[in-house]
Amino acid sequence: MHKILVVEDDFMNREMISQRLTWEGYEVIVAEDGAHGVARAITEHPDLVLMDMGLPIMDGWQATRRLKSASATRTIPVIALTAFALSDDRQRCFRVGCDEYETKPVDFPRLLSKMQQLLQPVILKEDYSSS
Amino acid sequence: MTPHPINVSTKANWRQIFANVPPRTGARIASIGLALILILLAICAIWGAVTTRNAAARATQASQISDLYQQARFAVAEEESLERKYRLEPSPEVAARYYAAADALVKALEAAGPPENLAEHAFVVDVLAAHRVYLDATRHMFAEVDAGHADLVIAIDNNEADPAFSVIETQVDQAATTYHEQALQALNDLDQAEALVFSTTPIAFALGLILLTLFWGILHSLNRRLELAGQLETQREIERVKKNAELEAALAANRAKSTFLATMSHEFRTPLTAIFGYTELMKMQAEHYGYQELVVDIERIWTSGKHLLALINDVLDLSKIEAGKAELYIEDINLRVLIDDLVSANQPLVAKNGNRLTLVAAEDLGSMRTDATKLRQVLLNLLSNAAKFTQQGEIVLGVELDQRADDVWVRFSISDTGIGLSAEQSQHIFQPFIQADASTTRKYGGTGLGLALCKHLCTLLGGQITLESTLGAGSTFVVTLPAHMAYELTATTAWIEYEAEEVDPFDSDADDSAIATVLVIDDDPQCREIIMRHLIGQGLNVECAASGAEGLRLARKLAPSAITLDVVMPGMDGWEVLTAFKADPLLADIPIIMLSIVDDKMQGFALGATDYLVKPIDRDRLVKLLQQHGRSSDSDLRPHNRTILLVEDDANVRAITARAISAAGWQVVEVATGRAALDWAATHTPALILLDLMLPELDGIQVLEGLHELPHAQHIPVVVVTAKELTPTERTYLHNSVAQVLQKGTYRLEDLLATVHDLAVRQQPNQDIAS
Repeated sequence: MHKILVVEDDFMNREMISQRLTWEGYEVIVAEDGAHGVARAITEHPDLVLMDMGLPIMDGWQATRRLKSASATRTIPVIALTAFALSDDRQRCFRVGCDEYETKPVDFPRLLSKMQQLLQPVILKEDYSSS
Repeated sequence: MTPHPINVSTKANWRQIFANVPPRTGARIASIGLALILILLAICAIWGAVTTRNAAARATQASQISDLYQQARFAVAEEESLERKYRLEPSPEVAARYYAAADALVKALEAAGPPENLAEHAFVVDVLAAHRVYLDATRHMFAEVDAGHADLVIAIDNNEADPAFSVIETQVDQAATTYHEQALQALNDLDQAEALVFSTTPIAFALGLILLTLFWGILHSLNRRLELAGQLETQREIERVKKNAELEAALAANRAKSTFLATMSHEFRTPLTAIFGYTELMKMQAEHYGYQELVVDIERIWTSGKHLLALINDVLDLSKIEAGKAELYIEDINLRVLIDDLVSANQPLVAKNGNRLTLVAAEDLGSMRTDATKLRQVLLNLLSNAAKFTQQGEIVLGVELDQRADDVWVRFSISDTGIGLSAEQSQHIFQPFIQADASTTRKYGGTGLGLALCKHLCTLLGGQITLESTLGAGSTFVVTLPAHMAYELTATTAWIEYEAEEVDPFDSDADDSAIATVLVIDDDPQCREIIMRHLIGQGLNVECAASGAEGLRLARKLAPSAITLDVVMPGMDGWEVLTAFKADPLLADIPIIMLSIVDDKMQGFALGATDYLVKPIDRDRLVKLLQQHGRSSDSDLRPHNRTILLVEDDANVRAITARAISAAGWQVVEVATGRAALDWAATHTPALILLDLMLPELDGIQVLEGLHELPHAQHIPVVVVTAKELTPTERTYLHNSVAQVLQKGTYRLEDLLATVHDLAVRQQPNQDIAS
């Protein structure tokens, strides 16, 4: 079971996303702000991070940069979730190292397929390690 | 000139004509009229003067001659009486008086008929000849009187003197009478001329004055009109300026509104996310646990949510355009392919209401240069409108090229046989939030923003949209766009930064360096303090060293993320300190920013400085540089793969670039040709490739193609550095296949370093490079 870290400050959305992901069969851990997100990523090493960009304390861009710059967490794929739908927001997300980008409201089928794509190499790795 | 009406009988007509004459032409006509009147008056005056003078001269001459003949007449009478007297009582005294009278007569006659006056002279000569005869006869007579021959005297008198005398008397009498009459006539003429002049002068003057006043009045009024026109112009100018200012204010307000709307739209998305998410979740759970009857209701929530989202998206699009924030991505597209795609994509929608969609277009429409996404958005909107408002009807999409004088235009027409629009509805149809009928939304759905958006998009694409519609009979929307949109339009598309973005801490570097330490090496305590205070104010940890030696020691102890180094210092100077840092393997990777009053960037970069600032220091720029370079030195942030492949054929450019990149802590592999680059990349995986496009043997594009064939090189970010002016095709190709394109001469070294860092650091095995 893949472990997904959801970093989202809005309670409703955090709950909704984690419920939906749990429903889809993922193990979900959550964080309420960027700093907590980075801390949880380092300590629990999730397989993928869903990162909201407008976060308190440390925003999504900073947190992603942190994750992508530290050797312990840089291999974890990060999908940016943002309510900012302008094209340069997308560019900003990629600049800090996000692997994928989704706008809110989340189109779950699309998000899930993106997640699967990013998670596939990990599955291969697991297969190798288990065999 | 304004054409004059033929019948100008009434005052109103004149006034109208007067008002219709352009002021300048009117003024010219009035001036010419005034001059003509003055000339006429002068001619009148001269004529009067000349006439009077001539009449006076004639009168004087006539009266002079008349006087002379009067004298002659008296002399003749005197002569006769003295002659008779002498015959009665002869005395020498009487004879003398007689001869005096004869003399006077001769003088008077000579004066009256001077030789110059030929006619008069001839007359006078005849009279004088007669007078001489008479005088001789008289003299003879007097001699006979003295001799006492009375018979002889009478005989002489009868035979010689009397006939001559009677001739003289008659002649002189006649002349005197004639000339008297002539003189009287001349005087009369003079009187008449004077009377005429005296009587006409006041009239002429009065007339002149009237005309003068009249024309002066006209001139004045024309001047006034000119003045008024000038004032009006000034007033218009003022109004124009005022209007511009108002327009500017209105635009600013509109922009503010649009910015607000855009921000609000973002805010709407957060709660909507939860609504959608929970709705979907509930639906899944309802289905899973068998509450099938709930599913329909939940789907209704979901549909309403979709409508709300469409509304918000349209508002966002509209406000983006109105805020001048819409971006155009202009590319060359095959029009026919786009149209075919559109038609096939719309078939299900069209079929839903039992409609038929017909495409009327040439097989080959050629290429079109425009923003394909936006064009598609417009046509899709119009097609879906047509499909929505038509039942069991026909929808025709027509595409044709319209060759105009200056350019080729593409004309898209979307006709339907649907409900149509009334003339009144048509007027407002392109305004936001207006649908033909308030009930439309309930019946047909939609946001009421689609057509407003279409209109804005068409304007953005350099064209326009028009509508022809008959209520109940269907509508035809016509979109006319330039076939080849100029690139300049993209550049002029206003780009106004959101204030929301300015306050938004998008620049995530700020917090990265909040925990980073900067070492300031400067011998001047004041300088140290200024830099330190400013950097602390920016949330950085700052340590100071007063000398190069202390700096080296502290750097080993603290491992700072960046160092600022003064060049001019006592003892060990900045260059020596820099060399020492770069020689120490533990310290070599710390970025060093040189601060100096001497602008010697080349030496700084040659010795391995990361950047160079000239004193007095622009503190904001220093902070920026520290943030930019600082992260790459943070040992925790440092990437593992530190190799960068530099492909550049120009040796100088290659050397400078390589030095700058290695100074930032990277290992640089330099190659000069595309072939060498591919050979090297076949066996190595660099963190990033810096690629020049203009290369010998294989050019940059071919290298890119070669790299795509190497499995391990698929995810290596490529930064293209080129001096070449890119064609749209190349731009599109590069846009899709490389991480970043830097135009030589327009980027700074630090931009390159920042790009290299950004891309190389986040290089991942399953990386999807920013597209």
